[in-house]
Amino acid sequence: MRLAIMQPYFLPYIGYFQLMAAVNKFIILDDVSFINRGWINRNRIPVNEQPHWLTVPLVKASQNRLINEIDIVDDDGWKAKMLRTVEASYIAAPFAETILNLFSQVLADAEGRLSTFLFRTLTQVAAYIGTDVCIEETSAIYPKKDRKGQHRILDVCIREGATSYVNPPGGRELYDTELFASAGIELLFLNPNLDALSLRYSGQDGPVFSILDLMMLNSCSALKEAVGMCRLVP
Amino acid sequence: MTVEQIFAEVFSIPANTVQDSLELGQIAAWDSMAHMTLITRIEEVFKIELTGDEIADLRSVRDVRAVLRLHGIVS
Repeated sequence: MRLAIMQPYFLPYIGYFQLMAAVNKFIILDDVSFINRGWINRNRIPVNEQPHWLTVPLVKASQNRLINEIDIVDDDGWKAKMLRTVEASYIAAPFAETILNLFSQVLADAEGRLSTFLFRTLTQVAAYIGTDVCIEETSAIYPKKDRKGQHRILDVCIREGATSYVNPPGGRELYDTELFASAGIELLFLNPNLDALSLRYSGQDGPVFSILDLMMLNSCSALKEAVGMCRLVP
Repeated sequence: MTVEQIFAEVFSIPANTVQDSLELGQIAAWDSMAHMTLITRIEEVFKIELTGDEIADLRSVRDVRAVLRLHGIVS
């Protein structure tokens, strides 16, 4: 069984869904520190041909708090504004109607815990694309104790009976291949190269815009094919 | 687009703080997602395809420049 574990993000770029598509089970790593000015509660789309942040407003977000401890601001004003921005930006997009309906549902669920909202959003997008993966809502169900870094990941892999663990690219120095091998788990890394993708996307920023951009411009079957193109390397 | 501008964009930091000695682990906004985005952005901007080993070696701005030089790109 192939496993991946990763922090939740708001409508991340297609590489995130390639990681999902590469595994049988995907665990949302939400009992780790929040990252300010990162990609957890925001992502970008093009507005007037310039990158524009779509940001989910949070209550007292801090790097000193865990992702699963942070709430979304209890005020619906930002939702209507964000929806208007997306509508205006993709008014002529071929899949605008379908994706705006989906995005409206996503925003309607934006309340309470950030991690719960992100789990629902990621699940909705994965289902739309047709990614056949089991998504575990929270890593908090796996006892953390004092385990950190690769030792936490390895412990979760063992509990899940994983035979391979797929990591995003980078941070290889944080993982000991032999340590995983000794537990019978193959360590693999995703190569996110997207050159082979024949998807439509906006502007020169290309595929690193939010998945929302690709969803507006491409059919779900094209997206499904694209997320399945990822390469795994030892 | 320059290496400095890519780092500034991906990690939301001022471009003038992007020095060769800057290591990814020192950047507050660095995590696995940002790293994926950085690699994709480098490949997109410079029209190259990084190998698994090259990706594994990217730990600093200096490393990024070194990999670009291997691809014949001086930035």
